[in-house]
Amino acid sequence: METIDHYAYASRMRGINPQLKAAVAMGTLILCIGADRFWVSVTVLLTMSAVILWGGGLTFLKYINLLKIPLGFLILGTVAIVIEISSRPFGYVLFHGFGHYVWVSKEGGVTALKLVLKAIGALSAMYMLVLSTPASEIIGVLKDLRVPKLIIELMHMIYRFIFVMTDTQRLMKQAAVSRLGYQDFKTSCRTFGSSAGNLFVVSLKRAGTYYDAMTARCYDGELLFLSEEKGVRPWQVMAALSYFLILILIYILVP
Amino acid sequence: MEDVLLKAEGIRYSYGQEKEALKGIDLTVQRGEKVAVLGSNGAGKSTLFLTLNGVLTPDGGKIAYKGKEIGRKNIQELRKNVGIVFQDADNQIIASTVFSEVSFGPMNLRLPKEEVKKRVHSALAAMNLTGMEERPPHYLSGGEKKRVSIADIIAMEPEMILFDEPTASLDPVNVVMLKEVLDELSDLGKTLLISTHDVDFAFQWAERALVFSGGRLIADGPIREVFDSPAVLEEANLRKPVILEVFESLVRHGVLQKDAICPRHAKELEAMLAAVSGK
Repeated sequence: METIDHYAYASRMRGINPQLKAAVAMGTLILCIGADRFWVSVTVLLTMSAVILWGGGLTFLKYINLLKIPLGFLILGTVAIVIEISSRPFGYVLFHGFGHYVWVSKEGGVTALKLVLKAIGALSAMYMLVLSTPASEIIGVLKDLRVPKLIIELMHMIYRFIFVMTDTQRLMKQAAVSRLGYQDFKTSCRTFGSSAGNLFVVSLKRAGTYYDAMTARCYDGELLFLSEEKGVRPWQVMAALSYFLILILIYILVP
Repeated sequence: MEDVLLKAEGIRYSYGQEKEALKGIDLTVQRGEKVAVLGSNGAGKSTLFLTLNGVLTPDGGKIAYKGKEIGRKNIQELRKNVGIVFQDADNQIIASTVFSEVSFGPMNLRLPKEEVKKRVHSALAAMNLTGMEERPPHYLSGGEKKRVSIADIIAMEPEMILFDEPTASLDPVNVVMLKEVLDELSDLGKTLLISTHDVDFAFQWAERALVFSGGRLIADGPIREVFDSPAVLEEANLRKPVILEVFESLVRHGVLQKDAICPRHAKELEAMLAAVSGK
């Protein structure tokens, strides 16, 4: 199964210090949303996509596929802003009936385009982070930001369990399919229900054995891991700073 | 020279109100021993391992480590020195990269970071996992996961390691790898207890065997003697190792001398037969 997690592990930018990547992503995100300028958004979208594609080595097709889902939501959301209804025609009329006109104004269109670009720009900055940094490293960054320990430990466990659970679910589903458990809609519903219930019981049992295994390794209430530090190179910091500078210059110089 | 590492006396344990899983186990383990723990499913092997490591507190009986009795206060001492490699690696691996997974044990021992790093790297090297430090466990193969779960324990540098059915989910190549690891650990002076259903594997590797049945220890002795007792084999639902049966056939038909020592594996048998026919 190909997931964002998978892409992150395969990324060529994995070796870069996660704190730096998170800082660049957050900085870009704030600049992009804060500036709210057409050309800043376009620059962010193009540069971040370029970094993802050439820096990280993700293929164009996979990247577009990842953008598709949020783009769908965005378009649905902006339709509400762009389209207006009134009893007299304005702007570009799409259709009319029952004495009302459904129309699009030029200003509305521009606003919508700017909004979509801003959102996609911000999204590409976030994708730059998540497509190059595995979840465990992002959790590490949050830990450095002094997010409460309990939340950090839960994030670690949940992340690990997602994979354990999906694997269990996959095996259970295969076993059910082989016994005709999913042959039509009715049986599918029934099988899904009982396998979900079973998954819960399995989870509880697993939690027990996990706890035993952790206790066996001297766990006493605090999850401790050591992760290897990834160094920051001066040129990387310089690149990040000059990138921010360029964005700010665009904001100031281009209207 | 006797060097008693672990001594258990009259260990009893029951899950809830139901029947006892362990009904009074007496056990002494010497330093450097290679022990196979045999018995059918539900005979109490896993429960015994969990009590020997201190995860489960026995309802009755005493456990002493190096002559010191283990109570509530020094239970960490027991967990530190006795490691368990669990049967299913997926139930043991908790971290999201191999490196942090193996660091979990040493970090819990509150060792300095440099020491943890050193131990993790040497454990990974011993398990042939160098270069996989940053891999997430869910993208590893079954054999690799098993190796990670063993590296977990090696990094804690316990004196005694308990393996709960390590051969159960491994393919033949990985079983060979496991044997090499076990030999290396023995050479390092570690005391090893392995529970298994694979009698051929046990016969090849172990010096001593413990046989469990219904929560009792029904046999404890040199592995050869244990397999010579038909009553024990029947009660524990065990079969004889193939090599032992072949050896006995050969003795019965006069190919080998009666007082010969049974070979442990096919190569030893071959050498023996070569020596006989050479005469």
